[in-house]
Amino acid sequence: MLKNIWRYSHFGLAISSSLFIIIASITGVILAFEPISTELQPFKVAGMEDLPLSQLIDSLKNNYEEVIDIEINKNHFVKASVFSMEDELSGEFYINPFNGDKIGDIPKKKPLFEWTTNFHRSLFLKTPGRIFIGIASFFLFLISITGTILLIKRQKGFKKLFAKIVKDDFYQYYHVIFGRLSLIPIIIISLTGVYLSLYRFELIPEKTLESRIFESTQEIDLENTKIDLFNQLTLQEISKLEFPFSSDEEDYYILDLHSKSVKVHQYSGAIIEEIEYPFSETLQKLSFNLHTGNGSILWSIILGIASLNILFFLYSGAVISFKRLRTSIKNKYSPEEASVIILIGSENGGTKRKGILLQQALLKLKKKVYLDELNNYREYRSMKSLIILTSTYGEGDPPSNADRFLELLKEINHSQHIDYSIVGFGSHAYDNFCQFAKDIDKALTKYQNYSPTLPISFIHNQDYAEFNIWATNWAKTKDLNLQLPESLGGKKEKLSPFKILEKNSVQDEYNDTFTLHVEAKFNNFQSGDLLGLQPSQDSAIRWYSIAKTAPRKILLSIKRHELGLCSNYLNDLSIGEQFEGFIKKNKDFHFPSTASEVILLSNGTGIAPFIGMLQHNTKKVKTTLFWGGRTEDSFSIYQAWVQDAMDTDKLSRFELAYSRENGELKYVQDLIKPELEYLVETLNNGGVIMICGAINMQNDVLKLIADACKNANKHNIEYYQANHQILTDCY
Amino acid sequence: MLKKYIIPILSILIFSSFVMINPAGDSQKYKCMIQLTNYTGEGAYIVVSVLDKDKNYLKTLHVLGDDKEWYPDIPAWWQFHSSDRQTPIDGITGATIAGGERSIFPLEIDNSLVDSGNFLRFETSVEHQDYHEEDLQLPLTTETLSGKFEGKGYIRYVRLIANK
Repeated sequence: MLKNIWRYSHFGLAISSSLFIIIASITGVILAFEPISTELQPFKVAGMEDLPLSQLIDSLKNNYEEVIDIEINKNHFVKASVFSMEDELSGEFYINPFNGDKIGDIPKKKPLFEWTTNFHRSLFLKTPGRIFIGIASFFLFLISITGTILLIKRQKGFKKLFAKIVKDDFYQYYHVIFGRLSLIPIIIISLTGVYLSLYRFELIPEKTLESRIFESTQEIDLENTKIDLFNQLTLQEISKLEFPFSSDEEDYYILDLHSKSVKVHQYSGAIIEEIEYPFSETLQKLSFNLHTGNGSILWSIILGIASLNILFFLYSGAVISFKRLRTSIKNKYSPEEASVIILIGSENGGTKRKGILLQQALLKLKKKVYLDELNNYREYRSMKSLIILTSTYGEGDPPSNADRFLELLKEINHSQHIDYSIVGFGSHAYDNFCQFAKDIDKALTKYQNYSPTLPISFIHNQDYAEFNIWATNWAKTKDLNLQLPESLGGKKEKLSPFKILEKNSVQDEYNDTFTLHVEAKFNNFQSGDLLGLQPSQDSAIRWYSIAKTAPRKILLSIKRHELGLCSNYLNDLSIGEQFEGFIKKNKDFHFPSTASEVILLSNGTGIAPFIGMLQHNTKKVKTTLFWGGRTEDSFSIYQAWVQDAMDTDKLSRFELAYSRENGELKYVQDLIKPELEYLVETLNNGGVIMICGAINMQNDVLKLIADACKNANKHNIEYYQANHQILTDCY
Repeated sequence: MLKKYIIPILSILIFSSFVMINPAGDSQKYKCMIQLTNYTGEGAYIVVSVLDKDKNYLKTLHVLGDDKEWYPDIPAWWQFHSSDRQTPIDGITGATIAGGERSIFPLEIDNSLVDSGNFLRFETSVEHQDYHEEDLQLPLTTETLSGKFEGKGYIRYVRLIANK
């Protein structure tokens, strides 16, 4: 709950000040270039820092009739203001402090910067504008603070603030990444901005100046003036020196040092008065330099980048909020009459959107569905099926709209029998992958009247295709022909023709597996990508993992199902004919470009992508292929490819098992059982295991590997999954 | 088009600069310093001028502030200046100074104006703040042209000294 307060504050503050912050950031980016362009001017004379002040004064007195003052700025440019009754001999300019020569005029402030500065600090609205900007600056500070609190909560503690962040959603990920990087500059920008505003409006309590007056006891020698103080001070210690107005004894030198101002007798050199700058003024100077980047190119660049980041935050924050708001729940049936209840645990709306799609698809099938958030769990009198879709927040916590569910589950009792299915959404990059879904699953097993329709399913990175597979499987248990939209965005894939070049079928008692060699119109795909095919308008898309055998050439391996629309459609095509389809990148299942060793595990048609990958293993990375088929004949259609890979050293070892041969049932699982130690060793040495084939095989194999990892006492399987060392593509 | 005007414009400029460099009668130069109070806000516009005994403007001596769009904010002087086509002020204009700062500039005053019952006026105006018509007003005498005088508005004090 508390997290929500911070989030709403973060959001509300940003919304209410966004316009001013946008203006201030854009102008801020431009203004970051000002100190850079100033500092690049060639007015700094090397070595001036250690020059004694007295030497500078001497060279000025020799060169000019009268000096009014000298100023040394943060860039170590020395500016002299000289005076003469003759106009042309008066003026202000930069000098070389060693000889007093003029080295350049004071450049005028560039009109662009002048205009931008004005806009930046007052929006051209004078005093009201300054107030608005001051308040916006304070809001920016509060936004940074609420953002930091949210980040600490997300990362589970201050210490983990800089720990790895999981990339789930692009905007979310970079909102956090950039937020973390530019947090400190932004806090400095906002605080100094606030301080400068307060100072400008005299809201900083001014302490009276600390001034000490000294009685001069020194003898005054008008002929021989010697000011020791000026001999001792070097130019780096002073910021300004005002010369006495006249030769009158009452006219003093006024010397501004970095922390105080001193009046010096022009003949005796005695310190007449010393004024310490009040803290508020020192702070004002510091704020000004930090806010503008004055005097430091590096800091100016940081400020510029931070300003750009603020713009990105506003944009990405708007996208995140929009996504969250877009997914609002609407129900056609009341909770009392609904037989299917879908409950959602969602942090950013990604999971919720899938729940809404599922609800809509079920409504089309005339099912009485009710969709709600997990925290609104209540008594559902007509509930027969319960579907829980939930993500996990941070390190294994429930998302904010699900954090009370486990409590509510204990309080609310249902007497009827309920079948349930849980889908966890998460990322392998987290150690506690789908932890909250697992927690719910565990909690539900305690109730006699709850029974699972399907084992708990986990979906990595909101993969919609995986969710679709789960939905289809769930619908099958209910004898429903469930149709979810093919893609989340509702975007239609662009179809392209694929021409059939060659076909090979297995000639055994099953007669159901065949390969197609097809030619595409384009070439930007890899082995492991997916070819999507939709034989008719209202059928679901079928996906095939492809092998790239040559430029534009694809090998498909297909298992024909008795009633399979797609497989029969492909089987009926003859050589030379075309079918329409499209290719989807499958980055999570490409042959690793850097791996010490690769182990490929597959059964049935799952060998297809590996055939293409082996072909492209030109670096001859040590690779082992395990394959399980039904009969010796079933291998015949792949044999030539595998043999070729062995002959060219692209495949080092090949092991196969037949499940319907010689009366002994041997599966891939059986093949790897004696090899588990080797598998774990390979993972531990930075090798990669890729699995493609039936989902049952994948689950068995992963369990074997998980157990073996545990026994080996090194890393657990989640570590290797997060590290992209175990890649799967199963169906 | 432009060429047609260049020669007349140039001759006017040359003529007027002659008038400036060689004013009628003798004149004396003074060094003048204006020290402002520590007010906060924008830089102050300051006009130094000579007035007769009835407080009618006779001559503009110096202007601090070169952005003409703010001159109407110095109304008493502006009325005189906008009708005074005799005194171009480009040569006697300097930059504004802000609170706590000082400015040192030469003043050139015709001897005929001194000790004749005239006044020396310093008037000041700050953007969105007050206008001080008589921030500092002195009788224009040989005596006052060497000394230190306190102002009533943004001016803390003015120092004057004759050039040796």
